[in-house]
Amino acid sequence: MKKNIMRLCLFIASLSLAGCVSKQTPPLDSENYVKTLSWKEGFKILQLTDIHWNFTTDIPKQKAFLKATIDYASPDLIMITGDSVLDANQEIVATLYDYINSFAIPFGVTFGNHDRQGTFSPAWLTNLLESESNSLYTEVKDGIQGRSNYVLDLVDGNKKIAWQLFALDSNSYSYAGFDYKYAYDYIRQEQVDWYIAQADRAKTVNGFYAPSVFYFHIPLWEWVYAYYRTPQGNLGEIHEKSTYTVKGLTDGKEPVKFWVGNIHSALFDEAAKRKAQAFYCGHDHSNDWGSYYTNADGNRAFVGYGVKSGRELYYAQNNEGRDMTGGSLMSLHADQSWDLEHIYVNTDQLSDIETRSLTHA
Amino acid sequence: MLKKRTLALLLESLLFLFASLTTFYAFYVLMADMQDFSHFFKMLPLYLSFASIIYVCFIFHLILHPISYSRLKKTYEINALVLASIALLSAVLFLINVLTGSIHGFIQGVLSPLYPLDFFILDLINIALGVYLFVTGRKLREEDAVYEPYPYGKLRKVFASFFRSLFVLIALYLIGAFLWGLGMANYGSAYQGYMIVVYLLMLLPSFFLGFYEWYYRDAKSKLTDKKKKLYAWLSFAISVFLTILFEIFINLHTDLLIEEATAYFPLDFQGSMALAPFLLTIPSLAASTCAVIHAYPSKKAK
Repeated sequence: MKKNIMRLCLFIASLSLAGCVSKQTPPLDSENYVKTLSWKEGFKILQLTDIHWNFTTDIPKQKAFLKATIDYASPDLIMITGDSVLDANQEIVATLYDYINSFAIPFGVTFGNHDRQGTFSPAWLTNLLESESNSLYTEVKDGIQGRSNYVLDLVDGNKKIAWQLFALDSNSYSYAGFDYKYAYDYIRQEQVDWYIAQADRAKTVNGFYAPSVFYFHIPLWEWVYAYYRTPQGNLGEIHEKSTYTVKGLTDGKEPVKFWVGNIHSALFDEAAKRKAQAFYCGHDHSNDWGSYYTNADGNRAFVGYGVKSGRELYYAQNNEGRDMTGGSLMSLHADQSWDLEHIYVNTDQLSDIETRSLTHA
Repeated sequence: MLKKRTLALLLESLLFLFASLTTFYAFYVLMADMQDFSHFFKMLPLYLSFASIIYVCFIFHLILHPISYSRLKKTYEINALVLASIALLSAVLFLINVLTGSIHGFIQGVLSPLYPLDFFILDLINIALGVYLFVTGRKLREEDAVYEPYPYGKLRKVFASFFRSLFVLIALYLIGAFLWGLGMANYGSAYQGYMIVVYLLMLLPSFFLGFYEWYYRDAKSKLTDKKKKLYAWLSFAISVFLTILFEIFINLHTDLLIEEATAYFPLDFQGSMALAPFLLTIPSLAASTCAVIHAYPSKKAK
């Protein structure tokens, strides 16, 4: 009996270890990660974020809200930066993406920390996103951390890459082991290496780096650095109620209302020296703050939150008592200038829309 | 032809599995509302419907294992009335929500393909079941059942009832997560092998319950002390082995649960709290420890 028990234990242990496989990664500059769109002057990208549809969502009402936002922005591309659902089933997820698809506007999706919280598998979600006719979502089977790492090249008539739009998976949580708390994850070095390879690919095509914009969910440490330097920022407000501390970031300083990854990512530093213009995230619903930040190398870019796209889960009102819900619209220009507009839509009166803007010359 | 007892156990097991699916799903729905319960009134009839399924399991178990005639009559009468009342309240609330437009029609869908109609029908069934049980209870005779008196004092019974019920709820949740997980799992991932231990831990509480109900409850009076101790220590050894293996795996690969089990433990990832490691291990360890203690009865002075 004892021998049989030992054999069973060994079998379970070896079965567990034997089931672990490693993945092959294609070349980091592979075009498998690339989707192409035609560039046009004033190309408009609408960032929607933290839509958070769930079991309690009034779907007709939230559909109307999204329609009002998208119709107002009239974008050339929609980028959804994560937390599209939370506690949802397949029907809710499919309804959301089918609806976004129905606008016949190309759209991309990056994942947040809550996108897998539902009664569906990651494979099902991938299949759904890849099958939507207007979806640019690309998931390459590789060994790189994260699922939603891909790039959209905006290509001009001369087949040059006018702009690159990077979608990155900021992953979800981080567990330190023997602990009861999860911290937030960060964009890993292998993902940064992938970005560098793709940026270098564009340089090979153009002869120079293409200006780029980044979309992901969880903010980088650079948001905090920017805040410490310029608390008022250049656009938007901060209304998160609680504060967050991160070892190595906020030590001895004021805790911040930014819920960043637990480890510093090299993304900003590597991208800012390769003509990155702006980095956008979601995650902190009550913030739509953004600011320019210059790093120690003297490279400058804009870091900012999008505008939470709906009232689900929680949201905030700005200093004028207006719901901070809507979208964030970036317009790109051939001379590498850009404009940023925060669109605030009143869920209860959809024609009541206000905007705040920033122009980058 | 299956014996009546076996049929009853089979029915109880099927009810348990059905309740596990609904318990897990109910928890997910509750999580969606947990931020501020601003949708509580709209969701309340659904919560009551889910609760009634667990309550039916509970009533069925009490009927299968009555401790006395008076308690059995109370089960049939009072618990049945409670069931019918919960179901009636749920049905009325569904009607109100549909009529006021909080729920968009009798077949809105989303939560289930025929929501809220399917849950409304379930409520009607539970009302009928409650009424049937109440009427049956009124006609009940003492000789209609075999009784299993509780051998210990009242205080121990209260504690045992509480912790046993908690254990059953956890077992329901975990096996429900496992069954739902057949459609949610991250198949083909690098960590699937490690997840075998997690799946076994999810199944373990239900396995203990099944072992007790299907075999041990009837067999224990005929088992030798040595055999009882063997079963107890075996359950403890399995719990400890799987727990140690699990702890090794999640510390070797700290993102194991994050990559593979986000969908199974929504509370963890909503609140950024690592509760799953405790939920997976402590109930089975506690239950098997109790089994070991129970296998060594205290010797009273003569």
